[in-house]
Amino acid sequence: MRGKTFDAAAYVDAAAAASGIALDEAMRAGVIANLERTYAFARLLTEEAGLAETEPAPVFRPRAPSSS
Amino acid sequence: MNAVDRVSTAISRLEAVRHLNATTAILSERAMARAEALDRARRAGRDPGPLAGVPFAAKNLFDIEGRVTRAGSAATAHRAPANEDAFAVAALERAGAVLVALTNMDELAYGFTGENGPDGDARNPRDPSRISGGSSAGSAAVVAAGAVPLALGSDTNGSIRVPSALCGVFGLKPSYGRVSRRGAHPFVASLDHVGPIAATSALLAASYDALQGTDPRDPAQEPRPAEPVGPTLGAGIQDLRVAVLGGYFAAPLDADASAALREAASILRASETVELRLAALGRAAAFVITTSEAGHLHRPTLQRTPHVFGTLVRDRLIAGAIVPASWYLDAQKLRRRLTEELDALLARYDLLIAPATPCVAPKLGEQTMTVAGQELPMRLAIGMHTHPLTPTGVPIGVAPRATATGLAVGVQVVAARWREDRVLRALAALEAAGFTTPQEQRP
Repeated sequence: MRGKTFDAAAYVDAAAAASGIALDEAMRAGVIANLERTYAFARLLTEEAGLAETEPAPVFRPRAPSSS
Repeated sequence: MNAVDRVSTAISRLEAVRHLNATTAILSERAMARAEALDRARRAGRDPGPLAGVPFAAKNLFDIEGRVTRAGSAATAHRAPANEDAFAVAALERAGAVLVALTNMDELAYGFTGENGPDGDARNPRDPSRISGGSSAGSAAVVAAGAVPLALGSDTNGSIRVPSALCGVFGLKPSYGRVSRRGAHPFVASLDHVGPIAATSALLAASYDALQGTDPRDPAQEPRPAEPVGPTLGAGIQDLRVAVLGGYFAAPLDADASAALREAASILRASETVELRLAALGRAAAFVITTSEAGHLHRPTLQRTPHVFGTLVRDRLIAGAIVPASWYLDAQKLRRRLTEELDALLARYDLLIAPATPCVAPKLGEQTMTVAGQELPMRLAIGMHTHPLTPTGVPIGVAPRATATGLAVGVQVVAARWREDRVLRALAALEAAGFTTPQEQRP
């Protein structure tokens, strides 16, 4: 899916349906265009060496319960 | 001038600049009652606070007791009225400031331009045919128009910094986790910040100091004591090591943005240029994180009633709601690498400076803009210099620079996390050297 063969239209149709979002024709074109743009950015990230071994940014730090 | 007079004047000025479409509500009754109470307290010998009688506006994503929080969208109309004021609004009022208006914004804060379908577009006071910048569009516009000296905004990818620069006022995105976001309608939980926009660096500092304070009800807030920046505001910049962010940030820039950066570098004695290698990928990460979290946040409404959103925002949100988890997690991993790289630069330098936008405010409705010979998509590119820095969570201020044509650009001043004091010292130094909101527009 992350290669040059990524088919945004097919993905949008399948993923929107699986997510319970009904697309009409007017929406579909805009959603595909937006997902293609997101894909272009996401693909850039995969070109950064060593990313797979990197810890994601957010780290969950549970706080001690307040004494009140 | 007493609080009642200051608030009355602010309300009159807000009425006089309605053509800018910068406000969505003027809260005359509430504001006058608050001002009268402040004046009574003063007459009774009580300290009315460091911001006594300062009228301020708030982006309409902040909760106001008894009102439905709109966040610039028809999609919020069904919500119940807020049962208390947002933390930031209450904090400014505890310090003596008076909320007088709510301001226009990009729908759900998803934009850099101030364009809004339901409420109409916010306009730039320096040229109403141009964008104000967004998403804290009206907040920057009412300060730039001289209607109020202070406003609250939020910044997820540049939404305080872009409109502050394009309207020509001071803005501050504090460190991530510093100012409580409770009662601010969320957009992107892992990137949302609340901060002030002001006519002067002194008021920016005073309002930031008032906004500090712990709030266990914002889980993203760091439990950290207040560190006031007011006492060191005038300390100068002699001891600060300053560098210019080059590389990604060096182009494209129009002549005004380029000149402002050179001038700021000279004032702050920035002798070196450094590169943030991962800047372009940082922007990519910010984009992916933003669309994913925003889409997820609004997924229930997208499932039920997608047509309540404006077209631009709706299609972005749907695309975001179906982003594969691997794209999102790659973005959060890149974010850590970006932050480590910027932190290393900020260990060598106390401050880094960068342009706030590539150019002056484009005309409303433009799809593309041409900067230094490059044609760029306007709605995305106007935030290209703020976008990559936000995921790092460091504090960033904007100092405004008026252009010869009466428009404005801004310079970003970046410091290590929790070093808002250094940012404010630099903004004060820049202001003293000519980076100002024009005098005739100051209230």
